[in-house]
Amino acid sequence: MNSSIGFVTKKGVCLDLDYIIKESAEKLANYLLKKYRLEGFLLIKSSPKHYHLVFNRYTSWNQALRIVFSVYKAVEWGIWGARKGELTLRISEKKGKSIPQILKSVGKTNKLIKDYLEIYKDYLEVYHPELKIPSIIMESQL
Amino acid sequence: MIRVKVYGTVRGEKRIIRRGKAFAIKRDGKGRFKSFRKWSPKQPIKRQQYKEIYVEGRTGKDVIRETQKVVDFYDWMKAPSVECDPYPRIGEWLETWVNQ
Repeated sequence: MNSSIGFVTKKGVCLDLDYIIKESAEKLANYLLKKYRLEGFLLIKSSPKHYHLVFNRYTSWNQALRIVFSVYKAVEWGIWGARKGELTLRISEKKGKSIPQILKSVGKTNKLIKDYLEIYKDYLEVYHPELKIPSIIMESQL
Repeated sequence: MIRVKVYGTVRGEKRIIRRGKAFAIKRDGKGRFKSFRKWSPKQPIKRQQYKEIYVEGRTGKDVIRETQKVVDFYDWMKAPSVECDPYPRIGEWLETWVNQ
């Protein structure tokens, strides 16, 4: 009986990539960034060989789905999001997994990335006050 | 408006027999009675149920504090299980982030 807390959005692009290495995730992020002009991305490590990507630009729901389903690794996860009408990324710990770690941010961070970081920061402050807030959040425009 | 989702599995139903009839009973995380229904083989019990609750608010902190109330009410969230790695302390965490 364990629960998780997730960041939910329908106005931007998020990806949940399973069984992938860090270099491939970065390469994919850079490719999507240039192809769809997404302004910036945030690379997050949720567990070994599992990465999350959050892109900055606000897009329509249709555009977001098109981008998610163009990535083979994210199709299975995208089906659940399409069914519910929104995309969810885990923020809290889960059975067997710790809190996702933010590795890198590239480009702008003033739109969807800012929303994500706000909730991430508040989650840390409320549930884990003993942990220090990472410097990436302090440097971004929060 | 900021929106956050609390999701996970909740304890499902259990079958009991009273006075020659079968019932499916639901209890919450602390074992308190919640509800019951008549059991039938065409409506079997579900031992685990997936549940999602959306929490909305104006600021992130309000939302996260409400999630705490939701989690306490449903008694879902527990301390990290033994299977996951222990949390690194403050200095270790920053070092791993800087080095990656």
